[in-house]
Amino acid sequence: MASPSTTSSARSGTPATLLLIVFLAVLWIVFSGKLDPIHLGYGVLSIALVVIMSRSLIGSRSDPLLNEVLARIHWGRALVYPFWLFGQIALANLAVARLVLLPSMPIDPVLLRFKTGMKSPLAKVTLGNSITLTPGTVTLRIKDDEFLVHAIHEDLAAGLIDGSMQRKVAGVFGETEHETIECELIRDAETVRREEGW
Amino acid sequence: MILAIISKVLLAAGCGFLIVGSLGVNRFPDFYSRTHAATKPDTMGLILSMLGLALYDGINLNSAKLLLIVIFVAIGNPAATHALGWAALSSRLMPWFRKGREPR
Repeated sequence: MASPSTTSSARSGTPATLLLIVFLAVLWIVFSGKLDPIHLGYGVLSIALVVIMSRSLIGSRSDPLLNEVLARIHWGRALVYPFWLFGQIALANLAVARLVLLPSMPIDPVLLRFKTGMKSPLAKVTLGNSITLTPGTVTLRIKDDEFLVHAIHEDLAAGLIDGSMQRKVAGVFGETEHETIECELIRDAETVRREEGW
Repeated sequence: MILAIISKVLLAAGCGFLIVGSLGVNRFPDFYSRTHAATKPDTMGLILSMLGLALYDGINLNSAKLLLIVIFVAIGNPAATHALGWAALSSRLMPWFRKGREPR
């Protein structure tokens, strides 16, 4: 489902530095709330300072991939994604609250190990952060394409095991090979010792 | 009027989640599960509280500032949580598992 906007921005490439400047300018105006020359001047200086300092992080020189990744982002889905994620967070929070409040506290921790076909680091970080943001699951490690996730109960990781969260993130970043590969559930110390080599 | 009621409901719900989170830290058995209790309901509690405060005085510039706090927490909190979990894993801290689970 390639939209026209995806192809047009892929041609020119979304300039990451310009995005950063616009973002910082909006941020400054919202925080300061003053539009006189002095305060706006401070803003311009601050933005210039931040852009110069983060040059090596966001500049195309050190990371030519970033502009390419930004060009492939599906912005419509990227706008919807936070709201979807917030819904997931709310639902999972209620589930965790239930686990905490039930006298029997029926938690059953499990480690999940799965691989993702996603290539871009930004997509992997977004997936990792979304997993951690959703209650009941914490990303412990991302090594190459392998995720290690601690879940407080298997049910709270359902969206990871069936791959629906991976599909959402892959959709935002225009990744095609997003299939979750061999999701493994670890529930005992012996297996952890064997697989981690402790 | 309606806004004030919504605001108070949001604040109350936020506090509820914060209390649940604190309870969870006390009740859960090991570091990893406590990480869940310490960080997740906190995020939710903070988001709800900030939304409540954003509506408290009606919608104005301060509401936008409070919403930005929500965004920063939503990005920063999982990063910090992951750092904790990764540190624990790196120092070979074994997660607690429910007894009776057989090794495969």
